[in-house]
Formats: sequence, structure tokens, C-alpha cells
Amino acid sequence: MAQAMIPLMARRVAHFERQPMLSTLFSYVFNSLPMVSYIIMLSFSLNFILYISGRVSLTFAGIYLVGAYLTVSLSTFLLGNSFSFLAFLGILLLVSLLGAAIALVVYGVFERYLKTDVHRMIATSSLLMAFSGAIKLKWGTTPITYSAPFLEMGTTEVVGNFVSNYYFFMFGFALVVMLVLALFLHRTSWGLRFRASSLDGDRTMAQVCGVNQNVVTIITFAITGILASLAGGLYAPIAGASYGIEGNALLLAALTIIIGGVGSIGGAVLTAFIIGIARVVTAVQMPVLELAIPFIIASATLMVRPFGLWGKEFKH
Amino acid sequence: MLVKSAKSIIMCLVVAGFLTAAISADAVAADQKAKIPTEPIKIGFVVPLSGVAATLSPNAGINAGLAVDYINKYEKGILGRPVKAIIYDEKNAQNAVEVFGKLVENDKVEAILGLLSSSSGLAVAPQVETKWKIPTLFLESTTMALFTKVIPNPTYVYRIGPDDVMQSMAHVTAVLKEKPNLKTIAIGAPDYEWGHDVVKRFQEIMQKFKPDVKFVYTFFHPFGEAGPNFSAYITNVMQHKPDVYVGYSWGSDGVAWHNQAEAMGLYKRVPLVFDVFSGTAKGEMAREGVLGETRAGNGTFPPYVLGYPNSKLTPMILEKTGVLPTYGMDIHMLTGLLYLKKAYEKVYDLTGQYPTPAMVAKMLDGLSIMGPDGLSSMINHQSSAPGMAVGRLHKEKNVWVMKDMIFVPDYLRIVPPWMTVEQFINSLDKLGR
Repeated sequence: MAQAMIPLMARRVAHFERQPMLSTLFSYVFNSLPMVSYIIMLSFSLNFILYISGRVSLTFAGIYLVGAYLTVSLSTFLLGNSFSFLAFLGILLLVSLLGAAIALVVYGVFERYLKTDVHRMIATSSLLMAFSGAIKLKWGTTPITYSAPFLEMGTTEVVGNFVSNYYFFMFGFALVVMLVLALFLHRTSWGLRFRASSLDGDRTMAQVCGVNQNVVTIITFAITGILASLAGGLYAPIAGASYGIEGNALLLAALTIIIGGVGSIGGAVLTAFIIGIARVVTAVQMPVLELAIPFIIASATLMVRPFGLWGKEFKH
Repeated sequence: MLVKSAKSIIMCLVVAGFLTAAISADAVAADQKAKIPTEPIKIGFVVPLSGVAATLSPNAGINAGLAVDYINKYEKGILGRPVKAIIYDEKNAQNAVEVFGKLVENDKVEAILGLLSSSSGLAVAPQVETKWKIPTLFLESTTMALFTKVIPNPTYVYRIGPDDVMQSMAHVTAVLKEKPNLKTIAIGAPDYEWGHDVVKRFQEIMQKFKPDVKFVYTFFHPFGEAGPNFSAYITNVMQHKPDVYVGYSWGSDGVAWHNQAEAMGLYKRVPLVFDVFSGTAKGEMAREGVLGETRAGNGTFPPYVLGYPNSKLTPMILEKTGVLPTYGMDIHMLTGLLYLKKAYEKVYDLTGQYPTPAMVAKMLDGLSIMGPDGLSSMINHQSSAPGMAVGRLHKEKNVWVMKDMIFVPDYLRIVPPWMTVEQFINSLDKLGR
């Protein structure tokens, strides 16, 4: 075994010698940006609902799927093959509002009646299939694409790497969204009410103190819808909208929470980087592990820190 | 004199007798020929209407109908019987087996055309040979394993599409013609059986012709992952600065690959790009000037390139779907119907009987036809090897077509029945030079 590994390692070392080290390292970071960006928003979509309302809901993955399809369809309908930065931002805003609306409708007519986590898990898994079925009925199973933002924004050369400007836009957008969310949670009185109702606080005590739990839950669902649909919408110009992306979304979001822990925005960002960069590095250096690496990291994390790298054990 | 006249009369009588006997024998034979049924002949089609392959050939269902329209309109059906198509979704290997059974047992079709995916072909073929026993023409399903491992002595299964040796030969020939002095190649394919096979063949064949060529980067990306991100592979291809990049991504993977490669500037920074699969209905995979393969290219069969019957079929497809055929199987459907027509008619002419499935299957072996993708011959244990060419993609009047086509001769693509694949590849350096 050890002998078999030596030529492999020699090839890896030779590869690094051929490539300028700095350029290669930067390429890993830059190429991970799209995945990092969408994982941040997607995972926090699941994380937020879990942290604030203590509920497990998989609806976010369905909304992610719908967000991707709506962004491609609306962009193609309104812009054709052309690209306008402001118009695209407008479409993302519209899609995020539609995502919030879908989340609220699902909560109002379905999820509010689910009383235990087991029910929620089973029921929202089924709902995910309903989302997939609806997408299949409307758009079929052939992927649809609107690549103009990705193609038109051009590239920038950074340390010998040609990086799509859309990657920077996507990452910046995700960071701004998370920053706004962090400011909301930690710098506003409404944020205080949310934290008081969260796993970190005490929901019953908050209710006794006058925090309307229905309003908190409704806003939480709306924010979840916004984050999930934006994640789908932002990633669609790169990979297209295709039937089945919701499965990947679900897995990546769950693994990010396992690795990063519940309720930490910083943890979500850092975990997204860990998963994103790990996938890019394995894609280049050891492709056979590319799809497995998030699971390996999650397993290792569970063994070392069962509540995640930036998470903690909650009393409630 | 009298004797001479008598001899002449006798000779005339003998000749007349022979003639009469011959004519009456012929008349008796004609009377003995079986009567051909008048109702339509049912042919099954199993084509991808959903799943990952549907991106590659999104109009497969429509094009199957058009191939049948063509054979009924221009070829007067099969043995004068109009053809009726029964079309099912291939979807995946399991579904393909189910619908094949349905076509044979419930719909009572006389022959089946279909299958794009190698995995479907590998699943269906043994059942056709042992259970259903009707003439079956695979439109693609290109893995070599079909005739080398799964059904090494087929009776009923034939293949119209090429196999991976034929493909790789065509690709190497074209790449060398375009860039004879190349030194380095990067090559990538989806991570499944065909992807590994075709890359291995390409590398073996290229090394035969140009032993000094280096494969600086070889990779296999995840196959059919929803929402894939290939930027790490694309960056690595560009960092290796190859003379040529050869890409085998297809279907929804191919669309994502092409968009991401375009956005990251791969097409500008690599001197020659050969994207084998450049075809989708909307042209998302087509790039100006990039090399593509006819079997898998967008709009690669314009009517003026190959003449009859393509000159009639392609306008029909263009009118109905708005795009040229996007994948080989779109036109192999007509190729298959023409093969069946010829086999049926030849059996009937020779035996006077209405052809049984076994007779048709036997007769298919060795037939040659002029199909929409050129002259091809059906060889048992092999692919029919329709004309295959490589050319540069070009957008003409809003439609993607191929320019500067390089046709690869059959003797350089087809493994002869008396050779193994390895023997054939080993003989290539002599043949090629």
C-alpha cells in the first residue's frame, strides 16, 4: 500500500513543482467562490429556521429549486439573451420576494400544523417531492439556462488565474446578505426578540415578555424563503436550472450545519469555505473523492466536535 | 431440305416449349408469393424523452415521427405497407427494459429502433436475444462492451451508431489534420464507463500516430451531477497550456461545461478546442470555430452537405422543430427504417414469404444503404458505422452548421471482424501512414 502511494505522491509533488504554488493556491480559492456563496445562503436558510424557531424544515430545498427556475425563466422572458446588471438585480429581488411568499404559503397551509420534528421531517421531505413534481410538470426534465450574467461580466486575471467576475459578484452578494442578516439579529430590537426566541434564548420566557411568537415564526419562514431562492437564483447562471439540484442542496446544507454548528453566521461562512475549497482541491488532486469530501469532513467533525466547529449544545 | 425444315420446326417447338414452361413456372411462383398484409406495419421507437440524455436529443420523439413520415411519403413504406410508429421514453436502463417488453408483448411491433445510452443497451440486449427475438436496431449505445462482452454472438441486435474505437479514430484523425505539430493535449470526460473507454482509446490511438505527444492533464468530472461547477477543471486545463483540449462532456453536463469554459476564457486561451458533443436544440453547446463531431454536433447535417435523403429529411426536421438534427440518433432513426425496408423487401423477393423476425435479422447482416448520414453497411457483431466527420462549427443564418468537414475513411475507423480491438489499434500506424 505504502509502495503504491509513493508514485502517486511523487506525481502530486511534480505537479506542484510545475505550477507556480501561489497561483495554484489562489485558483482553489477563486474556483470555490460560486459554491461557497450558494452554500452560505442555502445552509443558513436551513440553519436560521432551526436556530430561531427550533423547527426542522426541508422546504428550503424546494424553494431553492424554484428560485433557480424562476430566475432563468424570468431573465429569459424579460431580457432574452442580453444582460443588464440592474435588470438582473431586479429579477433577483423579485425572485427573493416570491421565495418568501412561497415559504409563507407553505407555512400557513401546511407546516404550522406539524407538531413534532419527526412529522416535520417526513412531511417536508414529501413536500420536496411535490416541488420537484411541479417543476417537472411546468419545465420538464431538460435543464434550462440563462448564462448571460456569467458570460457578459468577463474575467479578471488574478495571480495567473482568469477568474469570472460573476464569481466575485456572487460572493459579494452573499456576504452583503449575510451581513444584513447579522446586523438585523445583533443590532436591532427585532433581532433581540428573535435571539430571545431562539435556541440560545428561551421561547416561553420571550413569549411571557411580550414577544409575539407567531410574528417571529412568520418572519423566520420569510427570511428562509428569501435566502433559499436567492441561492438558487444566483447559482443558476453558472450551472443552469435543472431538475434534481434540490437533492444536492439539501445534502450540502445539512452537512454545513453538521460541520459548522447551529446558529452561527460566521460558522456558516467558514464552513462554506471549507467545503467549497475541499471540493475544488479534490477535483484537481484526487477526483475520486470530489463528491465524498463533504461527507468525510462532516464525519470527522462529528467525531471531534459533535455540535460543530462553531456550534454549541443548546439547553432547549 | 425437308429434313432441314423439320429440324428447324422441331427446334422452334423445343424453344417455345421451354419458354412456355419458364413463363408458367414464373407465374406459378408469383402466385405462390405470400400476400402482403395491407394494415400498417408497427415499428417501436424507444428514445430519450426525459432524463440526462434528453438534453442531447430533445426532439427525439418528434424526429422519430418525421422519419416515419419520410419513409411513408418518399419510400412508400415497407413492402408497400405504411409504417406506424409506437414511441416510448427510454428514460433510463430499467425503463428501457420495461418499454421494450411492452412493445413486443402488448403492442406486437415487428421491429424496434432506439436507445441512446450505453447502460440501456447493455440491459436490453440480452433480453432481445433470448426472450423477445425481434430485429432491434440500437441508434447509439456506443460502448464496445455490447458486442465484446454482453452479446458476443448477436442474432437480432444491430447498432447504427458508432462505437468508441470508431469515434476515437475519427477524433485523432481530425485533431492531427488540424494541428499536425501538436505536442500537448488536455482531455476530459464524464466519470462513467463510456467516458473512461473513449479517453483510453483516444490516448492509445494518438500515441500510435504521435508517440511524442504528451497528455498533460486528463480528468473525469462527476457524471450527471445536478448543478455542476467545473471551474476547477477548466482552470487546470488553462494552467497546463495545452496545444489542444479534447472534451467529451455531454447532455446537461455539456451545457454547463461549455458555458463555464466560455465565461472563464478557455476557448480564447487554448489554441484548438475539440468539443465532441456540441449539439443541443438551442445551441448552448455550440461555439464558433470549435471542432465538433457530426454524430454529436449541433446542426451538422445541413441538406446541402450529404444530398439525398438528407436533402429531404433535414428540411422536414427544420420546419417541425426549428432546429437541425442535434444528435446522431435524430437521423439514425431514418437510417434504421431504410435498413428494415431493404431487409424486408429482399427477404420477400428471395423467398416469396412474408418475412419472419429471424429472416429480417439474418438479412440485415451485410446490407448497405444510402442513409441521411451517408453510405453505411450493417455488420453483425459491429456497428453499422455511418459516415462520420469532424468539422468546425459555424453559425449560418441563425443555424449552427459544420464547415470544412473532414470525413474519416471507413478502413481507418472500423475494426474488421477478424481482428480484436487491440490488434486493430496496433495495426493503425501502418494503415494511417
